[in-house]
Amino acid sequence: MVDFPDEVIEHVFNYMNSHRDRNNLSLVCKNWYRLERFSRKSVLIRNCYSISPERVIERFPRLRSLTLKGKPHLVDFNFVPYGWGGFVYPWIDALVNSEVELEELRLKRMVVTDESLKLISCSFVNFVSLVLVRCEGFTTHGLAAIAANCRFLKDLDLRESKVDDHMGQWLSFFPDCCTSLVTLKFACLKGSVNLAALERLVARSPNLRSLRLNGNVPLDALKKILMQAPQLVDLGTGSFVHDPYSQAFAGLRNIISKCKSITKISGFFNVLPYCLSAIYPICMNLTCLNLCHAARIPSNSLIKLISRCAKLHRLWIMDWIGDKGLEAVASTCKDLQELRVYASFHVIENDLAGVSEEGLVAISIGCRKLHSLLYTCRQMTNAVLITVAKNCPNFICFRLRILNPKKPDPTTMQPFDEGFGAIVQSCRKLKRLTLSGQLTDQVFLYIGMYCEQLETLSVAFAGESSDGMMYVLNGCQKLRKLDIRNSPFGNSALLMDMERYETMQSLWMSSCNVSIGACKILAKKMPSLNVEIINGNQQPVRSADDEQRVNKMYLYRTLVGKRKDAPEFVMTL
Amino acid sequence: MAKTPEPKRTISLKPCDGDVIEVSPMIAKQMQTIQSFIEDDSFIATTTIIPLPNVTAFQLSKIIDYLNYHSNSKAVADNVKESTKKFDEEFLKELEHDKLKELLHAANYLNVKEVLDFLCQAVADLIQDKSVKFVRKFFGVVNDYSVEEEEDIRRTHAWAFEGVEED
Repeated sequence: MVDFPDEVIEHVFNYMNSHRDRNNLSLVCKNWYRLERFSRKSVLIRNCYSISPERVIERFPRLRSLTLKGKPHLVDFNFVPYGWGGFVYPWIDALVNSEVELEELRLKRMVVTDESLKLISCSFVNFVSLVLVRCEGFTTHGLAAIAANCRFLKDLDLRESKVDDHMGQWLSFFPDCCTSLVTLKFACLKGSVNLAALERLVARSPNLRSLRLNGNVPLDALKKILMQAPQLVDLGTGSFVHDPYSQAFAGLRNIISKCKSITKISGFFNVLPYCLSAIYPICMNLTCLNLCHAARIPSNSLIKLISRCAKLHRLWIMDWIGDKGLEAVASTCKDLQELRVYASFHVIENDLAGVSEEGLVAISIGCRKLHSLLYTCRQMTNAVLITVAKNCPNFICFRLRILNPKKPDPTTMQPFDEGFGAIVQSCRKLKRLTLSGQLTDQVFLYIGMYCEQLETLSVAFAGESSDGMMYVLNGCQKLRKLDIRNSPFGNSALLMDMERYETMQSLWMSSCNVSIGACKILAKKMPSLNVEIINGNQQPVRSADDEQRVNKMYLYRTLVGKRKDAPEFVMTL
Repeated sequence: MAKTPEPKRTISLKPCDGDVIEVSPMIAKQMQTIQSFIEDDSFIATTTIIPLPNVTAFQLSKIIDYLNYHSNSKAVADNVKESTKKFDEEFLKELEHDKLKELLHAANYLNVKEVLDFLCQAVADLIQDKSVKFVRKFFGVVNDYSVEEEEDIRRTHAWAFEGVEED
């Protein structure tokens, strides 16, 4: 058969959007490489130090949408010192210099300066989407520039970013005409908000679907906003305090009941438990509920709320829901797919607060569609993990955090090897696993044996010898990210199969038994890897003797060699 | 629709392997390649037979079926979405890989946007999540990379342009 002309091939390419598929297309032959190269609009870089911006632009000169990730994810738990790196400015600068007509930018865990935001706002004429997840380094001045200059802006999402909030006025910088805004999420901002500007902005944004307010937007303002925007689908409520007997409160309930399209709800900063009843009228429609920012709500108020939310797919909640609350979730939310239970601080003070193995077993019986779990509990048992493995074999993500991570099973005083062993043996689709509790090398033997699909493994305070890590590296062929803290894995495990790290995205080891000498051997043998030694106390790393134990080591593969922006406390071997 | 008596004005298309097929001007107009004939001289277009040496009778009738179904369903309301989906699925079910590719060639030759869009989407769905080998075989493309070149690109993809999904 005759070959298809290039325009037909390109036409097919237009319908191929996944990054993996696009990568595959360019491997078919040299002509397809060329066609794919010039038609690729969306590029994803998982580690901003794995390649240079110039090389990305050279390869995909017509890119419109860029996703970039910076710091290792352990920065979320303060394990990566402040100032490590992950700066976006060089990328923006290169894109501007190459006259790339960028329209979408998604950044995760990167340092974004106001200078970067200003450069974005005045360089990319058709810029529509800015998503900054857990980023830092910028202020509301930078946001004001985006608001003022990006005339076609659709999405501004600052999810969990740390923003220096100098000015509640930034919302008034949006143009006076109708905006194209679809998403506006600023729940992470700490400062006050110009409420009049916010209300005016919502009124002239007819396409707005997602709006997440911060804790300084009071209920009265929310009422006015909801009256103007009953089309919202995703609402972050802002503050949620009111006198429940007032007329104003009755009005709110009435207004919320008209917002029939809301399916996702979050926020509830400073909520008073009885105010939650205002959202009862729309509970039946909710698929996603996030109560992580809600100030402490007693379990019985949560139960009243959740027992109305039968359609939930995703629930994020603090552990003060208690085991009784999780039982209510289990009996109501039959379609639940993702559950996250985070710890609050009071648990440490009070042994009986929070959630335990009982809540988890109830969930595993009631929510058979559950495939993603993050569970922070004060206590767990092997017997329950074995039951959970039997009830929910579809886990893709299983993250268990026991608050005292070194404790054995309190009923048998045994380590948790058999419990996690049951999970990995039963859940064959598992891609992400976080271990917790007392564990011996045995658990790693199970993981190596059964976790064929595992991509991300997080380990802390576990194992007995280097054997544990070796079992994992030998067994889990699809492993891409491995984070290990405070575990006795040493040089022999690190150096066992050095080429293995070329198949992985990154390896983090902190407070393990790895020496500087071993890291040097690794770096010398594998020039394609950046082996970073990070000094946790932010003092410059001195080239001490090779026997010295490494405080933190972060290893990743790169196509462009050592990074040049490392601070003094980072030494790249 | 009201039926008004009208002189028969159809366009005669002659596929390479069968008898002449008559189509309405409305359908013919969606075939850019035919439209140029009609625009040039609508009298000739309705009186002479337009030969299509690159299109078989099977392909031509498939394309006409598709256009007929979709132009009729457009006239009706939105609630035909389901049945349209069903028609599209049935349409593709009858096509083996080779037939699908030949039809895509024919649609490209006739330059029928609606059918081209539909078939390109169908091909994209077919090769989605498939290996490079499968894609090469499907399109009959010969790999002109050396082993080293291919490895180099694979490495660049894996190291820079791919990674694990997570929150």
